[in-house]
Amino acid sequence: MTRGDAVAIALAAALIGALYAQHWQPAVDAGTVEIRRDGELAGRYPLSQARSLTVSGHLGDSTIEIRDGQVRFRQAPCRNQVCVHRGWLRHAGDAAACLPNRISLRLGGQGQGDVPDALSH
Amino acid sequence: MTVGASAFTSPSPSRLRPFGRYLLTGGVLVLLFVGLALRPRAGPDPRLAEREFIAMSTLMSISVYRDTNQTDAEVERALDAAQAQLRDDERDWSAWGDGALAALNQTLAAGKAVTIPQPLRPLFARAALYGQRSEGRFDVRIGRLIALWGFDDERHFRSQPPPPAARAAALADLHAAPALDAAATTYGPAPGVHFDFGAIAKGDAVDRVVARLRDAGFAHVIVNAGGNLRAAGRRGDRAWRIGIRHPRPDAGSQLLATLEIDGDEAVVTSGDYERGFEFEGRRYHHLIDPFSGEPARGLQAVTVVADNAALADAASTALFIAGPQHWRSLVGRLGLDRVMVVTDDGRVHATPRLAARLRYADGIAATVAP
Repeated sequence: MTRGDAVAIALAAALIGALYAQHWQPAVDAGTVEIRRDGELAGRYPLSQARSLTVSGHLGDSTIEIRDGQVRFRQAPCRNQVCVHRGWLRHAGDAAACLPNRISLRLGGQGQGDVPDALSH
Repeated sequence: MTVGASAFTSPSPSRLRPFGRYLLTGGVLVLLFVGLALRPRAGPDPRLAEREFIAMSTLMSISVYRDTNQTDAEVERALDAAQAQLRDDERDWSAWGDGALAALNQTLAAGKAVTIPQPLRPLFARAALYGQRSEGRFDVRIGRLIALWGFDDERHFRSQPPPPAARAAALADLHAAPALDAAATTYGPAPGVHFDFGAIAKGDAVDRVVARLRDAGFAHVIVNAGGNLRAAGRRGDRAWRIGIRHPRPDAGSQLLATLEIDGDEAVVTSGDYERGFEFEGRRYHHLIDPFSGEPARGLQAVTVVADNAALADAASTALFIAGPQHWRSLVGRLGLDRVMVVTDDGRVHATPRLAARLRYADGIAATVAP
């Protein structure tokens, strides 16, 4: 191997590194959840970090929990608890709402791959 | 190419030329491999605008895929108009409150006959028609029963079934009341009747929002009223992709199937999981059978694909209430041909025209219904 070869290999390796650094993204999108109050964006959080959030709505505080790439309403101030019973959401496009408290959440990720653009339920 | 070689002592031009060629070849190969190994940077599509808000007691979502000659500001204006329309619809069609239908209900409750206000007549006429064609399974006169069960408003809630006597009285009043005639401009007196358009008004509102957006020049849209949706046009270079929720989702799968819509179709699902409560180990949901006065049994979910959302909305409710024995007979009577039903045992049945287009989730086996 000549020195010229060594330089060519080094340059090629550097090019690979540079391209990966610029273009690499995780194969599985960690995803985000958008939380809305009255339809207005109240916050956007990554699903990769566990946290508990309290959002004030019309009736009181809704508690939202993020853990292991999923999100759920843990507590709601309304009587029927429809949003709490919805359980954990984990797929892009999934949505849940506490209608009386007017708080909604939706998992981010626009229709890429096989993710549907809308859900009939 | 000479830059890399300049660090070496006295490179002869005859050796630089092959070096440059190797470097060029190597560089091209690197680009090729990296290009194959990495996915293209898939950012959000700037032509897709989405807006979400609460209206008509549900979570509304509107997606607009704009043409290249349409600006974001134009999209925002069209979405503002759509949102305003849905707020008006919410007031007009609420069974309770201070809107047009609520006022009509108050007059009925006072024992008087009502004149159906002009703007409400088209949907009253369609509700009457679907009521007749579904042999009474779809019935907008059912408001008192819905209220007894606490499904009239998301702020009301019952944790146990209503007393049998109250239910029987509401049922008797409903069956004694005059039928709704499609050509009628008046109704009543019928003090036991309280109109509730909850199983058709959202679909109708979706249809009118789609029409409004199309008139404003937006042909590629999805309007989704809490899972009752209509998709028109397409999403850029591909069809819209609609997911249909599994009525009994588990950790692995929340979708029953996906459906591509390229053109203009409504998809509405009625399921027993949507609203309800559990009492003594039994689940009571919001799809009340106007003949028994109780939640309809035998099915988990009904999905209807039709040309408009008002029909799909009313029909999915009617088929759900018709149950496992009778839903098939209503498919033809209501002029449907794209229907999927999940029975209580978890079996999936789809009519041939819909079955041919559905992509079922892993592990879902469906019977093609005659």
